[in-house]
Amino acid sequence: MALLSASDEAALKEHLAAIDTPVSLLLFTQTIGGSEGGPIAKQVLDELALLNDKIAVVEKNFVLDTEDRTRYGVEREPAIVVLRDGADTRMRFLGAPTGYEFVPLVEAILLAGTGKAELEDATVAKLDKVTSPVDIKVFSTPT
Amino acid sequence: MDLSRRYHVTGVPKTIVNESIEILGAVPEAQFVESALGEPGASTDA
Repeated sequence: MALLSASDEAALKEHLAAIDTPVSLLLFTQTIGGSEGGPIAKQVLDELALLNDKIAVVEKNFVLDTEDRTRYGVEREPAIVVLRDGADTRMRFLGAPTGYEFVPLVEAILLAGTGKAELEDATVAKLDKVTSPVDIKVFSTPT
Repeated sequence: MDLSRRYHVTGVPKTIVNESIEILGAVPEAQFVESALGEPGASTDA
């Protein structure tokens, strides 16, 4: 059964139409003994990828693809790594992106695919002055 | 669950910056940036 309704699909398709650069979503899951969120994450991403041909889902095996896990710093599954034209955007999602987590995922894809952040000028000016890495973890809940 | 315990997450949204700065709730953008970048006088108790 589809997670997205026909009307959701239509609205999302229009929203994602602004994407002009390929976005790859690397999905790390573990089939045996993995989190129950893995199959849900896969379905969410697959349904999103159907809405725009610039969005691609690349499945990675959390147990076997250790090189990619190291490259992208993936320590848990399910994990989603967002790439813009193959380059790491450094945006990550842990857990199944459902409920309240779905919109941030869509916005992350849009950001990766357009390169346009909707930040205030004052924010951009402050971010321009950042010279050392800033690690930001946002905890949320799907419900 | 292990992450939420490690960072003492009892409510969401909660943001952790560089393993040390905590921002509670959905705060306005300007306030979030000030808190996240650790500017002097920035409040993290939103």
